Amino acid sequence: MARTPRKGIQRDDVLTWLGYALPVLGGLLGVAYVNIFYMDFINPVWAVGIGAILGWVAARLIRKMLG
Amino acid sequence: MAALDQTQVKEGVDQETVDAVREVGTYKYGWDTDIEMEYAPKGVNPDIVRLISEKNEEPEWMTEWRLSAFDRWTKMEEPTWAMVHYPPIDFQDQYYYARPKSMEEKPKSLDEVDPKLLATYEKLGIPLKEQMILAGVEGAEDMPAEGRKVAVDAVFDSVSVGTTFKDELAKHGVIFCSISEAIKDHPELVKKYLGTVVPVSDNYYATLNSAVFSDGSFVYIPPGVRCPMELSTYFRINAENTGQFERTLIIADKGSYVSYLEGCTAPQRDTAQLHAAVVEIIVEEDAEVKYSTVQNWFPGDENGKGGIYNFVTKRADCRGDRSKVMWTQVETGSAVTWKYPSCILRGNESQGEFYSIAITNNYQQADTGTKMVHLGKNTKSRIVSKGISAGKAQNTYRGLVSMHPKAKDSRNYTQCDSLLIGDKCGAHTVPYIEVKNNSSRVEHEATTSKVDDDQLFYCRQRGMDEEEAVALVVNGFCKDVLQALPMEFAMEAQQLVAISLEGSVG
Repeated sequence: MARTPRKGIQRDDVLTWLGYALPVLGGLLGVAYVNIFYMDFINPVWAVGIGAILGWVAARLIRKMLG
Repeated sequence: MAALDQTQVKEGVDQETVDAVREVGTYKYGWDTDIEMEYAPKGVNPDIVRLISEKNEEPEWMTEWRLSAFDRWTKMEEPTWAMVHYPPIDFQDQYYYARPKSMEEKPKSLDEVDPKLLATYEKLGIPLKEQMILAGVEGAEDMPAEGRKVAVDAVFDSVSVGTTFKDELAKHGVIFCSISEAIKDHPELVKKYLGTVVPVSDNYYATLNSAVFSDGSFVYIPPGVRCPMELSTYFRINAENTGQFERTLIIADKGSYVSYLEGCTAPQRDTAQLHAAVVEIIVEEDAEVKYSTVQNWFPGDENGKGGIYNFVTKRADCRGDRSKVMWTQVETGSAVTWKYPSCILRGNESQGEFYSIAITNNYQQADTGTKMVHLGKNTKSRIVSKGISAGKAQNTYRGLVSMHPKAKDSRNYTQCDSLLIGDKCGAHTVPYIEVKNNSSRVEHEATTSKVDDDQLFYCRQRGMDEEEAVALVVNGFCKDVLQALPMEFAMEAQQLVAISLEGSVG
């Protein structure tokens, strides 16, 4: 049986996209933080890593909440 | 340039183009103003000290303060530890006080102002409206200002010619005036703070300055006030055989903020001239001060003749908790530079930053750096120093990072890069690090490199000539510091960097 072509962006698409986008966004926010608050002397590797992990956790939570 | 003077200019080439070509590679501010001056007798002695005090109409306590400084100075010896070499300075063979005769009485209208003084301002690039204010024309401050406002205090030889936007600043409680006015009008503030950051006998040149300083700027920002505009001082040495000894005192009270700019130029002369200044900054709790300098004194000619001997003591005392100070400086001029802007991080969680570009070309010598003294807990400092040497110049970075026993959990990061252009110049780094507790961290990075041939080749492939390519590489090298400058200065500094290195390649 032929599959019905999908129309527009589905909820699943958004949820899948979040799983990739939020860790990247988290990492970028980590970079921004390091540059804005440079006198905090935060290691950029840690900032990017922690940002990415927080983004991933956020994506998981959102996916869980939205089913 | 002589060759250019003799060259016959082709038909169709306008005078503007000829002048522009003549200006390339020359010191832009090397002209002098032919103006009638009033001098104190040559040399320095207690009578001269009293005379300067008298000219400024100072109270007795100030004269005594100066005389005690002079007494200490006579017992001190000129320091020789810096990596700079120059002929002995005859301190008795120069004038310690010089002011335009027209400044004896403040002019009330433009007609009364010495036109030569006005022309000087115009040539230095100070806007016309400010010209009127600097010339002291009454009512000029009420006229609407165009663009971004910057209040200026113009110091011409030994006197402050005028201060702009004083009334507008006063509405916010900000006091911005010459130090001679402050001594008369705000003696309680001057008495409380003068000499508390840079003590009278701190060093040879600071002591001399304490005895003979003639003018300078005074700033007081009241608690919780963010200064509504940038403040600036423009120092101009004009008279021959005259030293300039200015004193700047900035007080940022609790929770206040101010950005202060400093610029300086001098005429091109064969004889060296002395400049010994002192800058004191007091930063109280939660206050922040940004101090930016573009130093463009005459550096001497290509054979090392003339130039300014620049001996400056600059220090900021972060007295309150969470106070911040940022020094940004671009040093392109002066034959000899001896300058170490410092931060005393006394308050807990206080922060000090130092960004510097020191460019030396031909026979210039610079021994510059900073001192970060960490006394409070959780204090942080950051030093970014870029030294560029070309021709036969010598450039030294000398820095101290000191972590005292009570400065627990403090941090410092130092980045010190040197760039060499040519094979006859030198770059030296002398870092001092003292850590007296085991919870603090100090990081020091240093690099020395030459302008990469590959980079030059890449740029030249794209149609740039060698000087443009070097300027591009150097601007990239200085990027970190240029970014820390206020917009007005960043543009000027970027151009200065390129101009200072003209003729350094090939």
